[in-house]
Amino acid sequence: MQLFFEQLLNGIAMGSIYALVTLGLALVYGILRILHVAHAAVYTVGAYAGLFCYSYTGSLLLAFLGGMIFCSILGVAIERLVYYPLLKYPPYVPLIGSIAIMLSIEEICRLVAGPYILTFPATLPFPEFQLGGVTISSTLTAVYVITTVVLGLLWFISTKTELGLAMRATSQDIPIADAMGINSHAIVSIAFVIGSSIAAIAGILVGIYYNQVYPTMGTVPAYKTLALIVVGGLGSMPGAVIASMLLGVAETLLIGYADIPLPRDALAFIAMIAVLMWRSEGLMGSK
Amino acid sequence: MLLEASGLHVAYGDVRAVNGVSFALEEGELVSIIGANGAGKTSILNGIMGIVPLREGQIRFQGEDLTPLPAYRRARAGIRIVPERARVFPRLSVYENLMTGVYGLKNKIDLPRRLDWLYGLFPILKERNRQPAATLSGGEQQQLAIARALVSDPKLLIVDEVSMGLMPKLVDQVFDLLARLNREQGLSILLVEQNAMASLAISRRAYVLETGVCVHSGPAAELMEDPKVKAVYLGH
Repeated sequence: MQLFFEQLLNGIAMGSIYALVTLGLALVYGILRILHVAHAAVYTVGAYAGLFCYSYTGSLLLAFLGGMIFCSILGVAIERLVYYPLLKYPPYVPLIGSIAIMLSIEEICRLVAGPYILTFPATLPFPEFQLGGVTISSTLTAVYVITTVVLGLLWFISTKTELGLAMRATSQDIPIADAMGINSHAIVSIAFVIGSSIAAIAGILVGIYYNQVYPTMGTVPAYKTLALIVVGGLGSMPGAVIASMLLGVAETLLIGYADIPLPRDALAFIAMIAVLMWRSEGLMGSK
Repeated sequence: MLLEASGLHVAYGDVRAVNGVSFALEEGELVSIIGANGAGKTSILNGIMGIVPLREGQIRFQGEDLTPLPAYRRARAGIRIVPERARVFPRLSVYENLMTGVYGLKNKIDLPRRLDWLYGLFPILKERNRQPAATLSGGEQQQLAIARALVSDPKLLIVDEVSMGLMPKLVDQVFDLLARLNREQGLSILLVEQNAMASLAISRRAYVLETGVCVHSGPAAELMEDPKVKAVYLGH
């Protein structure tokens, strides 16, 4: 039973991290209808930028801030220089562009930081808990708290502020949003800033969690988050979070506890195929 | 002149929708542009709003050149559109749809008073306040689109095919409302309609459009009597 709870806690942490990365994808898809595959590369860059800031300043706060700022700039650059000019073409054109950016960023990381695994020897300053014989490590606590804060903030912005209203209006009808006095292009850029900042947070958390940062750490998340936004319902942010949490827990419990002889990364795609067969609009999708 | 459009050209790829149309609207006027389906009426309105780019031509609003400005700047300058088929934001509530109409202007207008006035005009919107706009009927969505365009107290209202898909009784009500807004509040309105009879009846002047070119213009009362216009557009 103790193993079960330990794995459950790990699964929730895994799901939280999936959720943080998938949110950016859902946000971008919701507004531009582009599958932002390169988002996973932004996440990798976030881990590197965070590690770089951390090793120079020794401050985790600066590491998070630096990663978020750097990734925001990168995300907006991708949007302005690649996606916006390609929007007038069919959706597979920006998708190809996105894959190209992802591969380029991976290679740039390899050239700049080297092809090997770097360590991220930091401890997150969060307390450790004992719960009926099960230990919740400070890293797990950090993942839970940070994810909760990020999700809470995002919910608040999206439902309670004028910016959130503008983002939701833009995601439903760009020309009409413009005609209502909303600068939709600026809103799109803000969405990239938000999504990319969250990706940076996720990258740094994963770097610390596994004590590893390497050029291809975004590859598996790239495919998996793609499957996750399909499962959650394309463009639905609550759907993205729910699907991510479910997958995190399912992966950890089925493989780590029930010992199902499947490769861990296969589950996301089995879920995606199942959803496409029985509920093609996804868990929370419309139509 | 409140609005002066000169030599407007709109094209989609190689398809020319509007070929050098000029017109003007004075403050307090209700002017319509009538014409058959595909005559380029909607393209003209979208060109004025900035939703589609102009190939050529110039738009002046209150003497200021709007041509280089994007749609959101034109909206903030005081031009609001009731789009074809309403195009309310389907997954925003009725109230949130109204709030998009005052985006960035919340502090510049007396919002509670404007809302009270609109709820007076369209009581159904108050009733359905919290409902997603997608759950409204076609007529209710059209009312919401009109209300959304009016919250910010615009200087010019442009209305695109508001009669399309509405029951005849509702069409009368909507035209009645537009005529009243024009007469009682002095609101300047540019109306685009296939329903030529109804729109001429409330307009001061009108322009008749045929495949992207303006073929007639003049006081609405005269156009209604013009044999050519009658034959083609009024079904006599």
